[in-house]
Amino acid sequence: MAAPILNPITIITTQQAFAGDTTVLLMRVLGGFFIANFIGWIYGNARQSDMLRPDFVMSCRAETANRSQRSKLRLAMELFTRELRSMMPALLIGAGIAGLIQVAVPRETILLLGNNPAWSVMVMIVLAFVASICSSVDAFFALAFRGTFTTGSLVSFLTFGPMIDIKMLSLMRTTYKTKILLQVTLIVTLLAACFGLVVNYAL
Amino acid sequence: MRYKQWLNKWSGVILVLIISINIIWLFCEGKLNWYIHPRYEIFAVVFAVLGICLSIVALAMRPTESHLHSLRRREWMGQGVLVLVAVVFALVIAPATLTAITATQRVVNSGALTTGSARESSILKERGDYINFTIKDWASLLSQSNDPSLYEHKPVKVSGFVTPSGDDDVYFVSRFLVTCCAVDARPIGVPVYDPGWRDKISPDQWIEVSGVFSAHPHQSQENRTVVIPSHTQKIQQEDNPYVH
Repeated sequence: MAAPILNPITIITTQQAFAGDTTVLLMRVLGGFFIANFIGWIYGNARQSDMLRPDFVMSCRAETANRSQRSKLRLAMELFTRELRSMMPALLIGAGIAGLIQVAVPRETILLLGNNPAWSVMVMIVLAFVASICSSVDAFFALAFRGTFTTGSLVSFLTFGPMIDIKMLSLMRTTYKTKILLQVTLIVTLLAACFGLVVNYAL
Repeated sequence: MRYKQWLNKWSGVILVLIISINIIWLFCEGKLNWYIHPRYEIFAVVFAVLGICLSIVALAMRPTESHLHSLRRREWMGQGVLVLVAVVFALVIAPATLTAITATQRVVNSGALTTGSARESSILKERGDYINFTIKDWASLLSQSNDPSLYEHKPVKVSGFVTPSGDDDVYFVSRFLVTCCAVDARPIGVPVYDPGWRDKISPDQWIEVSGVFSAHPHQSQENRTVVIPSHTQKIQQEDNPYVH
């Protein structure tokens, strides 16, 4: 879960975007590291059958059972066809919804709440979910809100966005049960909000 | 029943073919940069070609399903609708750039434009003369300070599309600044003071404006520094409508 945050490209772009303000970079890296480990700690001992969708588990088992009977190229093409069938609809629908919301929801509506230390955090989390921007450039996107939004809300935006957004949930839905995704989304939301509020009120 | 199974099985491959053809078509038309930063064009095209090649191999080999299940009505119909929507959006509807509506919605010059503070002297050294400053240069300087005394009488020549501002007498000559793709596009612009501009030009029209910077004649708080145009000319949309 932390991979989109804890990689050299994201760290460098965040550092460049928020040059001179190490709080954002530091809290983003710490937040990503902490939230990923917290999720791992919670689900580390969970059984696969509790987390994965039954049809996904079945397809994996069928794949393993039939592996020895066919050539590698044929197996690769079967996998290619099957993966595309589950991934492409999820990707297109997720991207479509994200695009529609980007066009349909005026950004001014979201920005009205930017100055309040508590509301701004929630607003930026909603914006991260809606905008679905990849983590390598989201720091530049967040930079545009530096003057109008609190620093903590930017930290929440940069921590929550790479872990949870519309496109990603749509893709993860092909593998994980809805209940698990709801739980993970709730936990990441609360923890990302906590990090933002700590920056706003304690630092 | 057979076509339903066929559609369900191959829908992913068909979607990859549609999107890949769309990417290559846009690239050949020179319009792929309307959606992604030019530095990613080759990357996208290479993977589109790879996607087409693999899809053709998959179709030619006709891999057998190892775990066929009974097909529900909503499953194959959903796949069919998605393929149809993808065809319409990727291959039928003409490609288009972001417009003044999006610029207004995302608020022109709503944030910092560069990672550091671009200095006027260093830009001037690079460009040679104020007249060569780009719209990004001016927008970057104006975002740092819009004190009219810093810009008074400096010549400006910029091109872009017209975006209305909150002031009826002022419009923006604007562009979108793209960092990665159209999703992160941020509108930037130079405010132009031209009472009655709506009688001559309409929003989204591409124009080239020459003039000088001056204080807003009515001391607007929002746009303290504006361009007083000496020459306004309608132009065609540029091949690369965005700035990077």
